[in-house]
Amino acid sequence: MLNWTGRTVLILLILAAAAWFVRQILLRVHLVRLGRRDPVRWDRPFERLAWMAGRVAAQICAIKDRPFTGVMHALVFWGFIFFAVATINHVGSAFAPGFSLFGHNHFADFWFLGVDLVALLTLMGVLALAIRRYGVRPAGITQPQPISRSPHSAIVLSLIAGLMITYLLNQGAEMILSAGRPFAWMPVSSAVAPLFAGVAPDTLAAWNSLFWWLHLLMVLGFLVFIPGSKHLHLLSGPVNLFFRSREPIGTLQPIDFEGSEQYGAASITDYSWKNISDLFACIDCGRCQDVCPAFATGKALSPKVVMMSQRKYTLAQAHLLLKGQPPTAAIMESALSDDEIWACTTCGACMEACPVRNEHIPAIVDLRRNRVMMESQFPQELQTAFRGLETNGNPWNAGSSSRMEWAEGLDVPVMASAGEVEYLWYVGCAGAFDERARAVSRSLAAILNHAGVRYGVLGLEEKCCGDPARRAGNEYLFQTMALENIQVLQQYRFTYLLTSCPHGLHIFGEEYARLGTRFTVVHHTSLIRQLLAEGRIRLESGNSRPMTWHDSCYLGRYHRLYEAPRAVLQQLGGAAPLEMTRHHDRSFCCGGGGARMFMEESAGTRINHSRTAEAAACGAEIVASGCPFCLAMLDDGIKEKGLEGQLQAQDLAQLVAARLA
Amino acid sequence: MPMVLAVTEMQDGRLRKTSREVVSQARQIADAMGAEVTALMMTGPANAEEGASLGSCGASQVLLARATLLENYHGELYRQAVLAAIAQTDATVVLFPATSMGRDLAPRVAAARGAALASDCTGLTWQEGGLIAQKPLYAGKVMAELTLTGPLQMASLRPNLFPVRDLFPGQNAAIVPLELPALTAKAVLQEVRRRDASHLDVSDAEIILCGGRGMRGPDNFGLLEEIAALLGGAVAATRAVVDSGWRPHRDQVGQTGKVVSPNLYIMCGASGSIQHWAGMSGSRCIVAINKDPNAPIMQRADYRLIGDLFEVLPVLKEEIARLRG
Amino acid sequence: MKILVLIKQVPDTEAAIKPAADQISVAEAGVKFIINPYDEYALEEALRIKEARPGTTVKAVTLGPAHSAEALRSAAAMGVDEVLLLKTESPLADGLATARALAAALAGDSFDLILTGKESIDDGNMQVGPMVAELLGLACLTVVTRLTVAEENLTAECETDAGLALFTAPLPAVVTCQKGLNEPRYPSIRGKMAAMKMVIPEQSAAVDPGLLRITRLTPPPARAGGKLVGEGSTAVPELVKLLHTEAKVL
Repeated sequence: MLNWTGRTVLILLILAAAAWFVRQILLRVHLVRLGRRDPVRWDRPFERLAWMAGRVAAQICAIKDRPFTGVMHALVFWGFIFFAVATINHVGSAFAPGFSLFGHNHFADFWFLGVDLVALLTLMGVLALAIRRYGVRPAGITQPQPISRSPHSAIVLSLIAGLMITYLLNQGAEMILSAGRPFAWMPVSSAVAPLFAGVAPDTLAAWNSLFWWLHLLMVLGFLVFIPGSKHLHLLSGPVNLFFRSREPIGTLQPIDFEGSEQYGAASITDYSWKNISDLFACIDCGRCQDVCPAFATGKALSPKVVMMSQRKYTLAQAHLLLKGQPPTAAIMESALSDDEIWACTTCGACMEACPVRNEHIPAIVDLRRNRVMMESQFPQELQTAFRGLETNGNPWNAGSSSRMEWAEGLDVPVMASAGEVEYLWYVGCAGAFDERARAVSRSLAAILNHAGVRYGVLGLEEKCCGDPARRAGNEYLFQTMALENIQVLQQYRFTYLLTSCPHGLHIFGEEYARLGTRFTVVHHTSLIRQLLAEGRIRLESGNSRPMTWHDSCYLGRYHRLYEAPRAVLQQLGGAAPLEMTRHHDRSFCCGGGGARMFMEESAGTRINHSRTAEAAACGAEIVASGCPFCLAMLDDGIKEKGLEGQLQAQDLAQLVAARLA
Repeated sequence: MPMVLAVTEMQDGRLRKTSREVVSQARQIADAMGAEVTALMMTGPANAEEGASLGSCGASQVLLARATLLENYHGELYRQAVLAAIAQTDATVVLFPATSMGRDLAPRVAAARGAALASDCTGLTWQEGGLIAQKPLYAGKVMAELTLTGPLQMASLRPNLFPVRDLFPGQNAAIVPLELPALTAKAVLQEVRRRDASHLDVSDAEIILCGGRGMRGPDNFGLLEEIAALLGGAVAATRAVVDSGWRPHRDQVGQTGKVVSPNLYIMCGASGSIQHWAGMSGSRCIVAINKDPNAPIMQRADYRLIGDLFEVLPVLKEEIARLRG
Repeated sequence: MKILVLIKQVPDTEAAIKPAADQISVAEAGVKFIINPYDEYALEEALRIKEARPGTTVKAVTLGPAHSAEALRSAAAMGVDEVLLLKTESPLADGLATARALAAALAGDSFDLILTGKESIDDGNMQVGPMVAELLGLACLTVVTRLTVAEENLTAECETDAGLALFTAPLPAVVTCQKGLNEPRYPSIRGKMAAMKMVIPEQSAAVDPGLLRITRLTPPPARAGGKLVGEGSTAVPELVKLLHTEAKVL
């Protein structure tokens, strides 16, 4: 209980801290609102709320991938929640002695017990986290030099520890000073109380007052400190989780070319508001960086830095941006470099790992879009790919009239003469022009023919699906091609679109829908599984060499298709396939996505070498995949590492076709 | 007597081999026309006795245009000399070598005289009062026959193709001075720089030998370099070779390397992936030498030779040396 | 400074070219067209000069059939200020007839610099540039790999068989561009979109029949699918012979 002076001071302090807090939060909210409208974030609000609340309460976001740290974090998190409520009691006691939010009943007793235990557990959590951060120093938070200054973490850890300690001291002292509080319900505080046993009441009152004020100041200190540090994630994290994207990872949105002047992101205000919100949700935890294939092989890119660097930039430019004035430098001039944005393979590992569901890939592609379409600044090698797409409908500029050469001598029906089919098979550019992928096409054709599937291909009418253009940021070229492709496809009657490439699966299945047509797309590994299950194809018995399945990014993380190919491999090999160290949703990229297949990889070590080594190390003699990019990258990796005798890269279709009974 | 004028070219004070090819072909044309052949020599003050030897290829006389200004090729000045030669001989047919000189010079002369010009011919005959030329179009995808008309007709001949016919061995042609007008030009030649023969960039080469992983190591590329030197060509490499460090990146041809379109591209020990193809598909003629008859490049090459590189390449070098004489 | 760029629309390098039924022209069905790659160097150089010298205008002109307008659209997308289609359905095999038609159409205008590719990849004649210069009475530098332009004159490095020849010449002049002069820019999307909507100005061009005609087109001698010359080192002499006599590249 405080005197009037004390209460006045208290109220003023609270108001001042709250005002500061609100001001800082509003600044960030206004910055977020500078972003473009984002179409689908407000749908199903209750489902979103429930999902968010569940994740946050169970702390799944933190525990996934880092179980021990996550549990420690959960302790600290729950400590915060309890203390947020406990603070009400704390402040209340300044006005009314023995103030208790929950009254003086058994529930309140349980409450105080809870707070006591939480104080101890949180203290343990803080200690563990401090040891991890300053003792163990894992790479995720030490590399590259943390953008958020590490004093921030030290301050927060100290504040939390301080809050717990001052609480316990305060309670302990209170116990000695006043009688009547049941000790049994507050075991930890009771353990602290004896410290004050022999102290004179006046001195103790003074100490008690000190502890009380210290505790309060630390609470207010938090209010002041949170908005400007990465601990804003206390608020921005759940907000981000609420507004999460419910589409498959890495799905990109089209641009309305007629309706806008600026294509892609040159300035922060060009982003969608969610992209800006991401910047404030980022915790600098480094989970994304830990799984990024570019970062792992020494490229300039770190997804964490993409977020944090832009956050720093946004805050630095805030005073200009909020007045509608142009910033002093563009994003690509001061916050990020071309090397960083072009190193991304769009594998989605970062987005999968992010506890606050940040969307790194759309942001990076937005930056590419601006570079390509507005500024004509992009890696030289992509010009060949773009021109090839424009002139001959494929990124290697191979003669469009040779698109059916792979099928010579085979019985492959062409849609123009096939009539209505069940599957329209989009062979893809690799499947038509790349020697390795052509072999896969021939295998798949053999399987389809063997099973009597009613299918057809577009033949010479087929053009690239546009994925390399879209991933490289040339959205205009992509949309031009997509609209042409849609016109061609709409002439024909088919139930499913079959692709032998996961990029085709994703782009036709998810992204063409936003351009007006929805296709039901089937990946060839799923179809093969289905044909086997239905008995429409049978495999000859025999032993296979040990095999492992490489989860392609666009098949696995993007579309969660992990099990069908494994089931097929199991049938082929008689046993479940071996697993590499990184598999399923943690699979490691082959390095070919994000249009990187068409660019030089000159920095660091090769991504495909890393994955190939992993395949060899798991004991497999065959690394199977369902993607022509992966096949090419793994095959190259095998040749470049001289592993030809030991390891072979094959597509699932090839393995099955070789054993058709 | 109608006259065929054969424009010759000097390099380092000697007649270039293509000059004899042009004179030989001029003789063929003249025979069909019932005409004589005059060779035109344009040179600086250095001696020009060699011109007389053009008589053995069939020139009855050599017009000598000798001036300091003509020491190095200069389009406007050489044009004046050729026009004077046409006037002096009343030539009705003028042939040029399709070298860098000829390809710059012939259009200037043709436009000045309003004459038809068939450039870079691979075949040339005379029929019923006019030249008939053959040449490839669309990078060799079609062969065209061209018919020329008019009182004055011109053609430039692709070098290293037409035979040198020593029809009149030992016979010397008379050397006659050409009456030159005052030579003037708008452009001024400032400097002539010789190319360092050992550093021909793949982008500039008309003939490229490309080595792949089948070359088995950096040392074996020496063989390719020797053949390239014989042909005045360059040596390129596939990505695999560059990645292994055997050859520098500037020699890399492919989607992420250089895109080239030479007249002749010889692939040695490389399978020819689509990514490599993207860099050299514009080549006029593609030859593949590979042990594996199923390598992708074998389907795409114009000429295939299945064999062991290390047996084939030395013989290739010998044969080319013999051809180039 | 006023710059003119002469461009030509040609079939794409990967297009399958076959003689048409009349055996004199080329079958155009299914053929994709592009700007002659050497003319792209010319366009790029013009644009670079324009960027370096404010007040410069660049005009792109092509002589050809109606679909050549697409080449002008691409040029417009790259950023040229003006385009013009000199429309004709006449065959353009005769370089001199082409040059005369161009010179006649350009008679009214005066340019400080005329840029064009050293050759077009369809006929490979290398004629139009020097012929236009001759007809207009301008200095001409061919196969240029480096160009510096000043107010009244230019300096050019011309590639020759032996190396390089460095020339200076007074403006106005004609320059034919070689690979290596620059890297042509990828048109900005803004440029492409504006070019898509553009109406291409055109005028009829009379091209006289000329003194040179294509009288026959035939497929090349047995090269489709490639020829297996043989196996082993014993096949080498045959290979060299074929390259010399049949392919005529050695």
